[in-house]
Amino acid sequence: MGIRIDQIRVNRGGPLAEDFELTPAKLNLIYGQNETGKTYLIEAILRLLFTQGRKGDFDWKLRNWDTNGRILVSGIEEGPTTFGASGKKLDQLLRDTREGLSPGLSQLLVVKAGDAMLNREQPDGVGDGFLKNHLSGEGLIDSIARGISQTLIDAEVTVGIIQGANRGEIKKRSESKRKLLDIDDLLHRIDSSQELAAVESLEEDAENLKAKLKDLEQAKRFRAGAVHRQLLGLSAELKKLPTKDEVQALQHKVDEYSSRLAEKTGKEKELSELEPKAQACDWAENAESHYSSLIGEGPKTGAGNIYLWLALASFILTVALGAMGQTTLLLFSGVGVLAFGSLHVHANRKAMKTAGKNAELERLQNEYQDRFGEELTNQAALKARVDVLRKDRARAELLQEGIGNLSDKLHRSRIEIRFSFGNMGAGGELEPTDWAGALTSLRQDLHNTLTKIELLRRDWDRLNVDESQFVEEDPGTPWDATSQADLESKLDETQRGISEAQESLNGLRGRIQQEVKTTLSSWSSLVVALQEARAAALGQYRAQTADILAKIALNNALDESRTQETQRIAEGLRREEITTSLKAVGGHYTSLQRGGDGEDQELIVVSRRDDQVHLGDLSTGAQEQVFFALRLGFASVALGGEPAFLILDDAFQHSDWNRREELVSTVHGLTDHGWQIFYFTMDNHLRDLFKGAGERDQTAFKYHELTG
Amino acid sequence: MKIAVTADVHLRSREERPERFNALHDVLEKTRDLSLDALIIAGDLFDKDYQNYSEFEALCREFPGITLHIIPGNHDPGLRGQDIVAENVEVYVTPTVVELGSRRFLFLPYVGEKTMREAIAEVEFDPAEAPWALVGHGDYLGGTREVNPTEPGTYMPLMRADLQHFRPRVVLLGHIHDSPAHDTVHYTGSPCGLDISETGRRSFLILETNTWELTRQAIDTDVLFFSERFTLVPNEDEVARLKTEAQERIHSWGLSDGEGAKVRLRVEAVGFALDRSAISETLDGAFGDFSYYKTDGPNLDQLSVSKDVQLNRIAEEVERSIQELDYEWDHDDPTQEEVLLSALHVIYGEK
Repeated sequence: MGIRIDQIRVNRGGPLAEDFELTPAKLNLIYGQNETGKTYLIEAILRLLFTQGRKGDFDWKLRNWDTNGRILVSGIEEGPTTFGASGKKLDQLLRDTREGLSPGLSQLLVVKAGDAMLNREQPDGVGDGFLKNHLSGEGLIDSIARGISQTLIDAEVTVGIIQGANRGEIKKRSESKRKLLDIDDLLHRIDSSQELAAVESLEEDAENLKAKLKDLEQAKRFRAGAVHRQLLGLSAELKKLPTKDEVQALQHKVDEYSSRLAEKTGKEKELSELEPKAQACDWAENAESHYSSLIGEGPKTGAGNIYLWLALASFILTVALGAMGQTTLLLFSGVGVLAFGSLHVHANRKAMKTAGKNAELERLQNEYQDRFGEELTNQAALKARVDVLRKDRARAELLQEGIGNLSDKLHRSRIEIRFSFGNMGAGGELEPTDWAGALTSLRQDLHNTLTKIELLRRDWDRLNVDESQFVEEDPGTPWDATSQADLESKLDETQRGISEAQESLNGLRGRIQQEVKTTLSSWSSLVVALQEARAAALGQYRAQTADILAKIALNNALDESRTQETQRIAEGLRREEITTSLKAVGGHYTSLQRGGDGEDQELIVVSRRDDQVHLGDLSTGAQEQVFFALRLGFASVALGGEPAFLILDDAFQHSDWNRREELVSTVHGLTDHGWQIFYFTMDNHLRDLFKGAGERDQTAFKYHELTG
Repeated sequence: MKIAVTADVHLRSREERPERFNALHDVLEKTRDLSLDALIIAGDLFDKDYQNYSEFEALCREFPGITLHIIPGNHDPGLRGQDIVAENVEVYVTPTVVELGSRRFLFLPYVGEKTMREAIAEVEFDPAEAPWALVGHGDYLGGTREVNPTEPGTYMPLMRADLQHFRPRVVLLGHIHDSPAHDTVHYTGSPCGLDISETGRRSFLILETNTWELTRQAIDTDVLFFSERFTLVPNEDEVARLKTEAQERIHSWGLSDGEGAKVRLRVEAVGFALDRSAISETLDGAFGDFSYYKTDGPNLDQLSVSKDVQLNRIAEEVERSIQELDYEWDHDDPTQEEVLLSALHVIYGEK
């Protein structure tokens, strides 16, 4: 049955003045002069039927017309297939449904603008690429190979690894591998990080130490409160105690008292020794006056007169002291007036009694002997004695006076000292014998209190806690400055360890954050981020490796196929579809072969007489004939012998009139073999030739004239 | 002394998930038959949000000679000792050192947001005093380079540095349902595949405490999951080749008589073939004796048809060429099937 176009509709546009609609027959002639839309129509059919642009097999260099329409084609699927402006095209559908369909089908089925050559850019009008596509499959190989970069074409897999230039896919794979290794390294570093282990352990140690220090701090505050309270108590206690100066002053008073008491005792002792002498002096004075009278001499009144003068002198002194207000001295002076007056009177009386009494002399001498242990021999001796005794008596009198003064002072001092002791809390009734003990006790109390205060103050200074921070409740932990120092030292050491480890870890953390582009900082979140990054990198690496290995293996396979290229092309050129076409069209040339070497090979046609002519050397008319034959042959090869349609735009334009007749006849003959022909021309001769051929079977011929 | 070890049972009610109960029953039965008197369950004994313990208690009473030592996992972190009244069950909700077979075992229950190192550090015991075993539930980073697809994230991680620091002789972990082993760290694996991602025959561990040697004991489960993927290249012999390969795959499952009914299967064919229906029929025929997991048959969504003789010839060449590549495939590399698929996409274009 073959592939047939059942209907063509092309909307008007460009030079095409009216919508073109055709339900074609086997042979179809579309005739139109210049500017009637013939080219527009052909380009519209090309766009509707075949893939254009980069995905197309052939670049038709179509104009920028916005063509539209619809073409129904049968023989591809069950029922007709509609091709429009969008959707799958004929070449794509055929490739999906026909085994081994070569690319470039439109090149075979369509001749545009009278260009009969299969590839005008090639010297022989065909080219290696065309032959590879249609005869060896090499075109397919090249097409697949175009998906493999030069980097991978040059690469190989040896000794277990991919070896190639560090560019393109290989470079990208290396980068992915490096990224993967970097991530693995980071994961490994976290996994085996002693610093991380140390930090967590040290951080825990630090927390424990901080907790203990916090307990101690509470203990310290509690202790500070207690010390503060003790200090307040001791300060109050201290206020009740005398100051050191006060104690010292009291000590001074006590010492002064003791000194006076000792002085008084000494004087009293001396006085007790002088008192008999004073008494003896009185006797001696009496004895002297009496003795004088007894020995005939008148009583000597010298002593009496002296007393008189002394009494007078004392009186004058008394008056003077009274005028001066010296009460104490006045008292003493008054006593002196009375004493000297008495003595004067007494001395005169004695002298009167002893005068003239001899018996009395002996008694007197005896008593003298008794009293003084020596004999009274004369008055001079007695007088000398009296003089001595008088000095002693005067001394005794002074002592007596001094003792009296001291007694007064001692009394006042005692009162004063007892008062002081009373004030100092040592008791107001202390006897002088207790004073030393009391002073010692006061000193001891004061010393003890001051010492306690000093110690507490030192403690307080060390605690250095503000009152506002005092804790009332006992935390249960005793305050221990040594423990605190020890714990603080350990905490410092631990925190130093943490800092050092963290410094190392911060570097690691920074690297991870940079690697996974995150600001997360916890290790568990970084591990998750790394694992996710690894999964992404691994996916990329696996895909890249799969792609590279696939393409290297594919390239190896394609290389293997290429080695069979020449043989396949040579075999292809001898295929029956091609030789039959050559023979059918013109009949002069019977076969096709390649001549030349390597890439300079060109196609040669061989005549019945074995003449070999390069395809490029044929005349234009002969070329049109041969190329039409090749087109037909290659199309049969491509479609596996299945007939299809041919769209020929002035394909025989350059042939002479005889060849035209042959060609038109050949084309018409093709319709009997299932081919459908669309011939577009502006040439009246060709129009007439086709019309003539078509008239032989009107049902198989359609003529359409474009009017512009 | 020998001790049985399992984890990740994910029990729900017997009615809901009978296969999980039966798998644990088989573990206990084999433990008893081997004359072992202790079974360690390293977390996730119960599934998430499941707190009906009566059926489990009844199961425990069936095996009074076996003491079950259990730690909570990330799916049952709230499990408490008093929740389970069976006498032969010990649940360790705080890190606890227990002597089993004259060896010290540190049972470390799962605690979210905590590393195993932190948990171990809180325990008052001297790791260096005598050899000891760690029982925990979480991720061993030393063996985990990839995200756990079923539970992304890091769960109570254990690091290589921790092993170097604490030096346990053996680490028995739950959480990863597969059963990888790295260094001294062993995952026991789930005793019953929970879904098609947990394929193959399941097993539990047996630890010899004298030698610290570990062996595996297969579990007789109600369900065996298998997932098979075939990468095809169009070939005249494609049906015969596929048939042979399918038979080889089935053989590799190691099924014993009567086990075919336990199989829950996923089959996929990818790549290109000459005849899609023939491939479908072949797979249907090869795996027809088994039940499919959540599908009625093989998945051929990624299988395309190519009748292009030239392309198919090249594809065959490439398949051979890939097999002949002098390449050392490592764990990060794609599989040969992935490379072949990539090549097929280049040959046939993206389908």
